[in-house]
Amino acid sequence: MKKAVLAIAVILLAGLTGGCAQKTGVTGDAPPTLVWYLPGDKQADVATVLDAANTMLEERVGARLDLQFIDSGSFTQRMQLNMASSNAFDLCFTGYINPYAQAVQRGGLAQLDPYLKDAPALVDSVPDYAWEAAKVHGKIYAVPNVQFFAWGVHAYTFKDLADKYGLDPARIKTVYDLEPYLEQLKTNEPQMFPARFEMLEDALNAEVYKQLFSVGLVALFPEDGGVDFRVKSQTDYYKKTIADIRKWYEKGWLRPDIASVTDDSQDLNMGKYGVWFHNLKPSGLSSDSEKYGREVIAMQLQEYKLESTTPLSTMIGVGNKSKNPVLAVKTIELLNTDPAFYNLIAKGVEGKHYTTLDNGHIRYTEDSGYAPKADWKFGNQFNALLLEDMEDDVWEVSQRINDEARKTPLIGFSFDITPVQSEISQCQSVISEYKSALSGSIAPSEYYAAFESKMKEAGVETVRDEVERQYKEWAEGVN
Amino acid sequence: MKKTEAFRQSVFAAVFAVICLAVLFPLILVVSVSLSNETEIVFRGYGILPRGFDLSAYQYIFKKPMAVLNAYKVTATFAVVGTAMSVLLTSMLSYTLSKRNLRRKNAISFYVYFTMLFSGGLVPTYILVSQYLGLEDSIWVYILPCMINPWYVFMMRTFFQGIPYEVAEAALVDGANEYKIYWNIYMPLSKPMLATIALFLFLARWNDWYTAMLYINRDELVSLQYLLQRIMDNIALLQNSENMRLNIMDYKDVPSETVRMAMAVIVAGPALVIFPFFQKYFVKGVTVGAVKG
Repeated sequence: MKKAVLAIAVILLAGLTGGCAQKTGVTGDAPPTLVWYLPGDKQADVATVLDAANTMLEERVGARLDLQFIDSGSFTQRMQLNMASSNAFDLCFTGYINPYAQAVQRGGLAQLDPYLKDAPALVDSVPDYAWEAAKVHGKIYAVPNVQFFAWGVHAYTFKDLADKYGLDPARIKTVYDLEPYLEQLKTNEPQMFPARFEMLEDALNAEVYKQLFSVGLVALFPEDGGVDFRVKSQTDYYKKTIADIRKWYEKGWLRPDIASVTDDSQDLNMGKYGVWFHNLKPSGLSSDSEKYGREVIAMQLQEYKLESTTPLSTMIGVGNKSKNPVLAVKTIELLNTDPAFYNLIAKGVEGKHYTTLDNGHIRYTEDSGYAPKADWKFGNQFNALLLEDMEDDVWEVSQRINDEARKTPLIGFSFDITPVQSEISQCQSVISEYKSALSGSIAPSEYYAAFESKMKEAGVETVRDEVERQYKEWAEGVN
Repeated sequence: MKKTEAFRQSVFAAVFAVICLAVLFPLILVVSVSLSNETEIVFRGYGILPRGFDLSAYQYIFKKPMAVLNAYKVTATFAVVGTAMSVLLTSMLSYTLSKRNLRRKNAISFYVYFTMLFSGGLVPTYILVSQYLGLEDSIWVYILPCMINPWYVFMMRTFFQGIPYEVAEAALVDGANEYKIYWNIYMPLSKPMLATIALFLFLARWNDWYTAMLYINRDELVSLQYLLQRIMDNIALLQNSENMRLNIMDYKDVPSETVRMAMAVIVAGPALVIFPFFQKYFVKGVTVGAVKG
């Protein structure tokens, strides 16, 4: 019996030490491999891309790269676990998933300021407002991936429908100009829903929202010499919005089951909506037309503006436990400044994963085994090769709109929700309780008073005061 | 008298018929939608009969059948192996705990019970499983953690205690040792209970997507439910990113309604087939633990 126990112990020990030996058994001279966690589907042929990329990276930076794709849907949680455990990854995506503020707060990302001093080309490649937005308590923890940051709500419709009902897109300046068109759709296209609810609020408030930034529970109106903080649900424009939504609903321009719809992606994809609202990117119309299989037109309802949170939606950070932060930042610099390296990672190997056409644009090879199709994951998108359906000057135009867009005065201010977490979640549950009313199925006169008092009870004014307090604190620190 | 009895019967029948329909209706809808034409679904809504009979959803999924078939293989493997090992280990522990002459019985029971009250939490569990046990990206991660569920241990112990002690005593007198008593006497006597617990365990494992989400990076080890969950997660993410006014996401990569339903049919199908086989034992088994032990 004793012998058996001893034997088991020996086997276990052997197993443990064996395991350790494997992990630490790296030869001295080989360049370190940087692990980079990215959201997205696994790419079958990642090896070919890495082979080519690593030749470049070894020469220029002295490191190798390992791309680890994790499903987008579980990326946030996986990264939280990776940051909480002692996983020494080097690079990771942070932004709209694996949220930047949270990742910094949990101590998952390395502070980059000391390394950025030695990476001037990287600092130059990202506009100042984006760096400013990336600051958390004055320090930078991730590099924004430059892309089309501007936002201006547009109304979309199908060209054949517009022609059929005599809609002249040039004459549409506000969402209210669309009303006759919606009525025609309602009468003559009974199988369709005239308008989509998503972002209708933005469209109805295009003028107000032009001025207004960081819309959450609290509306911030920039004024001369400061900002006016108001509870959004108490503002006049909000009351007008719910009245308008009610009108749209009663007219039958919105789908009758709007309150219970959770996922209408297929309705949108199959062209069941006559008019829908979204931002418009340069070259966006041609890819939309291809997607719907019908020509799509867009009518601008709002000037482009730039919110402080947008540059934070796509970033690359360095893991706090990374053993090679200097090399990691150098790699980010190469991704942002060397189009050849960037395109290798973002698009794959020429001839294998894509082919270059006569005009210099590229076409993806089908089933090539490497097509992440998301430039914004990998670095500065304005270095990306142009796809077939893009205009030649798409990046120049994008850059120009970014630069010209009205910038929020809040850039660099990040709201820490922790002190009012419970108030915010209570307000959110009040809003979801009133979801069907707020989407038009009940007249505002019947529910607004009750809704308003519940919001007050839930502490919406406390949230407003906290935003104001944090903003003033921040503004004093800046000046 | 007879008349009121018949009336009561028919009321019961009607109530149960309604409940049955309420359960069946969503299932039938899922199957019907999966066999429908996408355009018809969007423009005319769901129907109890397929709208514009169309197999393209299944064609789409089976165009690249490896992902689904592989996930089937993985899920079937860990569900069967995991359930078998779980039932075996749980019953061995419960058998021991059911013995009257076991020393330190209360201490051991408490040790098992304690895990029902407290757990390590997500992060420590993750660190333990992925770094100390090294189970990340291995089929064993589906099987080994939570092999023994204390809840079922106590259910089984109660059942074993209900078997008259004299049976074991008689076997002992005839020269059987504990292993023999456990395997040849207690186990056969406990079939309905074992089958019930096996069914619970099997369904729990069959429906498990969380493990795959946390620990699996290699596509060839993804479980069946996670294939489904992944689609739903990605849709939720799209919705969310639209609310956040991002410029990056696109609806065109979302699978169509019919494909989603076809996936659900493919994934749920086998569990539906297995269930009736266990039903015989199931009814007997649910009363396990109902009698005070």
